[in-house]
Amino acid sequence: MIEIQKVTKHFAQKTVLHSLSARFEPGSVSMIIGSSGSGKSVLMKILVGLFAPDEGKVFYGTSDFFNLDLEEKTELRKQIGMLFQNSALFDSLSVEQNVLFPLQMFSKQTVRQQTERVNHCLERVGLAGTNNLHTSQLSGGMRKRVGIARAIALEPKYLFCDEPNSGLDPLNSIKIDELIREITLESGITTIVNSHDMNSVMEIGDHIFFLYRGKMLWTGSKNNIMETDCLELNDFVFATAFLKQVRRESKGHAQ
Amino acid sequence: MADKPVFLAQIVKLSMFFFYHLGRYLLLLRRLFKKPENNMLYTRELFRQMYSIGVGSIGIVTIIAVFSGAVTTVQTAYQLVAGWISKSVIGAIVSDSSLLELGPTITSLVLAGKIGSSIASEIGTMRVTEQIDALEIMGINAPGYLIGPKILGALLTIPLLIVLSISLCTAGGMVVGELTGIVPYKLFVEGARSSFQTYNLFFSMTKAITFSFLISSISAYQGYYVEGGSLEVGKASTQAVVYSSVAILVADYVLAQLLL
Repeated sequence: MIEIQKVTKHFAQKTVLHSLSARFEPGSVSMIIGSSGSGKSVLMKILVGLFAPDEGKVFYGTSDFFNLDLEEKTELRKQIGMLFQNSALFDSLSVEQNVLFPLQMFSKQTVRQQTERVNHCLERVGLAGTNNLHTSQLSGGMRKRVGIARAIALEPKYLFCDEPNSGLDPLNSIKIDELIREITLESGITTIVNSHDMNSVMEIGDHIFFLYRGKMLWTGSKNNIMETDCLELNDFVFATAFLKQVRRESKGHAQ
Repeated sequence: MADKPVFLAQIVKLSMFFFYHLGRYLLLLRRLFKKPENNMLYTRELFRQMYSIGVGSIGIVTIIAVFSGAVTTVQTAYQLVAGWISKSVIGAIVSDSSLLELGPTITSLVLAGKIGSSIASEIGTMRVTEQIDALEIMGINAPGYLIGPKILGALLTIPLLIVLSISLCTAGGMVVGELTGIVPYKLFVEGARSSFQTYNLFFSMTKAITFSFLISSISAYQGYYVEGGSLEVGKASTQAVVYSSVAILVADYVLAQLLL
């Protein structure tokens, strides 16, 4: 479980996050949604410890992340996996070496066990046999998969995904979404996904947190997002003329 | 008179800029002194850097050194118009110049261009593509893993490159002297031997170590704090070369003043 309490962040004179509180449950996918500039990325960076909040707290279980000492933080970080928007694979390494990297750095496993774990992770993301490919030889979808394989190599308790579908075609997006959901359920991990892709939200979002200009305007599930009266959320979800018409028609049917 | 406050404001602004970057540079260096998470991976990275910096620069160092020595021989002979001065002086001048200036300083300036831009662009690209964030989130001390082996690799290989450069510079001068008939190689060697002082070698190696540190650390700093995209990475790369070169020249003067 991850919990944030009254998290506030300022940049220069501007407040980008206003006293946000939320709880992210294990074994489920929590989606943070909002338009560009709403503060999603800043919140994600605070959650993973890249930025410190100006006010408020972030709890991993019972540990107050920003009050841990360096060693405790390092220990905790071994339990965190992250998929970046552009995958952030290490350019100088092959697919296998990328997935192997966190294992070599932190695990006490033998070389054979590490290799087996790498092969298992690659197989899990549907990339068995790609061990020796260089990252420059991978498509966008494959890079995301390698990113997921690297993120789960150390069997994390917490998985963060920053815009996992950006730059992917609809089919690959669905595959990545399914993969994130399956991994979350399999291992009972706490998964937080930062996205503005509504297909993703409706596909895998168990809990949804809507950010608007740095404020948490709405929280709920994908089942009640359609019926919300939150105007800003409606504008975000039904952004296109086509979706607006779908909403009008669905309301008409309901009546 | 009206320009005076503007001038002072500029001085204050420049000083603030300098101390801001100096402070951030020193804080970054402090982060290198943390226990490595895994000695084997750090050692592997060190060897990779040593190969890249050391072996990768042999070609350019060889060309620069040989031609510098050759040109120094020809120009020294051109300036020695008095017939009563022994031609062995050419050997003394070329070998001393190689040892004191051409080897360490010119080679380091060239390496600032080659290695400095490479370090800044490599680290800068890792920054803008979030690879450094990925390391930090994994719990890895990113400066320790990325910058530490580069500085150590530079400290171990650049002095060796400078020794090579001094040798080839002197050899280049000697060969050209012999081939063009300016000075027979025996006289050249005699002059070089007579002027050789062990202290000069110590001075030269002090310069080599100082310059190695400046090139690698300044370039790494420029790359580490890049913000933006490819344009900014290019800019950081250029700044790395410019600032490293200026630092080398300033350190060259300071060391000469202190040690000679």
